[in-house]
Amino acid sequence: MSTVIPIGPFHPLQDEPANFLLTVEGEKVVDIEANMGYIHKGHELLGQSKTYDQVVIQTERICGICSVTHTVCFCHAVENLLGIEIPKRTAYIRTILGELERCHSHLLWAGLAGHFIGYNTVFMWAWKYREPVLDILEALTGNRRTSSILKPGGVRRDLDEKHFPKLLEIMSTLRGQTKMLLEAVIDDPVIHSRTKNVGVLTYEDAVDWCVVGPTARASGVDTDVRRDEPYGAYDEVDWEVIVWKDGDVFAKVAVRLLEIIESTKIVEQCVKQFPKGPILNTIKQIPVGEGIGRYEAPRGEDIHYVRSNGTNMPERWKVRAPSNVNVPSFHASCIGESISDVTITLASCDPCYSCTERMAVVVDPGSGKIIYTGNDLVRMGQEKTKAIARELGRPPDLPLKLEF
Amino acid sequence: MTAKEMTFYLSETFSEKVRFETASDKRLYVRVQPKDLREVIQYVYKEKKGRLSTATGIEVREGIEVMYHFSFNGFPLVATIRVTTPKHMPELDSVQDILKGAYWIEREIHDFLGVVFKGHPKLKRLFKARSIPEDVYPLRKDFDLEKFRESIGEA
Repeated sequence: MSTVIPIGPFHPLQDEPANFLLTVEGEKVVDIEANMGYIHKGHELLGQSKTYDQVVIQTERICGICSVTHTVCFCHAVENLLGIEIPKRTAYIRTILGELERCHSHLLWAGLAGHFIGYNTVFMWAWKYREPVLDILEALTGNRRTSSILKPGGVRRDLDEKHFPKLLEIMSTLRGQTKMLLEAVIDDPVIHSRTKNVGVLTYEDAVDWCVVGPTARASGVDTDVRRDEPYGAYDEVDWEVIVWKDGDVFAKVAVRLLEIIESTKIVEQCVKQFPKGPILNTIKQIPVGEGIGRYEAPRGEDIHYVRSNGTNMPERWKVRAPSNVNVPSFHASCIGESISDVTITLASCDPCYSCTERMAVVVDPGSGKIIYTGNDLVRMGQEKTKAIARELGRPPDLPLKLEF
Repeated sequence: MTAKEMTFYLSETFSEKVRFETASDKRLYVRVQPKDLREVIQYVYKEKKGRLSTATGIEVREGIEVMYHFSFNGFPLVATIRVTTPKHMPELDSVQDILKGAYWIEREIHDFLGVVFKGHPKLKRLFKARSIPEDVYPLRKDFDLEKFRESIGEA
């Protein structure tokens, strides 16, 4: 007999709403269905009645975490439409801001993932490491997030170079902290048994569902827009694309943590090579045409499509955030898992619903009996970790060394 | 692979079935007829290892235009396959059985523009709010926001 278990729409930890219906037989998940649209804001339609300069400000408000991502991506689309290049200094500014965003986004996710499996120390520490990154963003741009510093053709304001020594210091500290977190994760047998071979997304499934970013790279798909179509300063600095083959939750954790280390290296090199020069190519008019912009967001490839009809407002503006293609891959990765592993699997692709959709549905699960709430599921996930820890004779939380 | 090479491969394989509208060496726009759509997408996905980034729907004078944007891992090319379907009966063949990546985006375009994807197993509401009736499509040009708000009593 199968039972339907609804998760959400108000997922206790992810601060954004989404409803998943799990059909289970015993402990095993046999089918999953997503009901989205709780926070659909109608951005695409709204943007078609705003001028290009207003759309830039609007794009920043698509997502609280990826405010730089969507703005730069929209700028890329407009610049592609016009066929113009941006000044070198601007390219470096965009790269620094983009990588700082990646650091803070991955740390935020690492903290949440730790909480999902019941390791609250990871949650506390990762979010503590994230704080200086937001502080330096505030010093550089004037705001922790949503800084309104970008515009098509360049940037609105220059970065103040007097903050660079502090930025370098934060990056080197963050690298040490991330390495410590990574070692602790790799060494811990409880995390191994909780995340290894859990929620596996195979290479074939990853290609079939067209997933992007760390979700794809953890399944062995070698994709990264920063390398495939270099923008900003990525072709002038040394860095590596992190690819793991396993496709399980553990690989996704490792890929993200290793990417933070790469990001810190990119920022350091950008600061060292920071060029002088103008920061804006003024755009006078947007001709008739169409453009596609791509950007490697913390969660993967972001793509914007803009069509202009020669007026000061876009005819059509399409936004496709990375979560929009990563979330459906649950159809492949959750089937066959046990219920207590589903929360961490659902969390493993770092879903960001604000980006993915852009209102409310209460779905009647039909004849299915509701036996668990979302809170129960998280509790089950955490209890499973504790049980494994007891079996292995380990402390119930991740023992972090407090050394530096 | 550049847009030029891709143009060559596509014209070799499909000759008159595809019409090229190249924009630059990193972006390629190709127009196909609705009946050839599945064939071309199968080729780009299976043979050329394209990844369906997304699809965009837009209402134009001639009908409803759907664009499938393919990205490629390893080189900077976005190939866009463009297809137009008449406004009075917008229908296209679903490609979600060729590549699962089209599963959500076809539902999304159905939500907002009312294009029917023949062969899609679950063409039901995904993102559109329940307060918007099934036959009202917000991204169509004839969608009147003020009138709509009056009809649901929000004005």
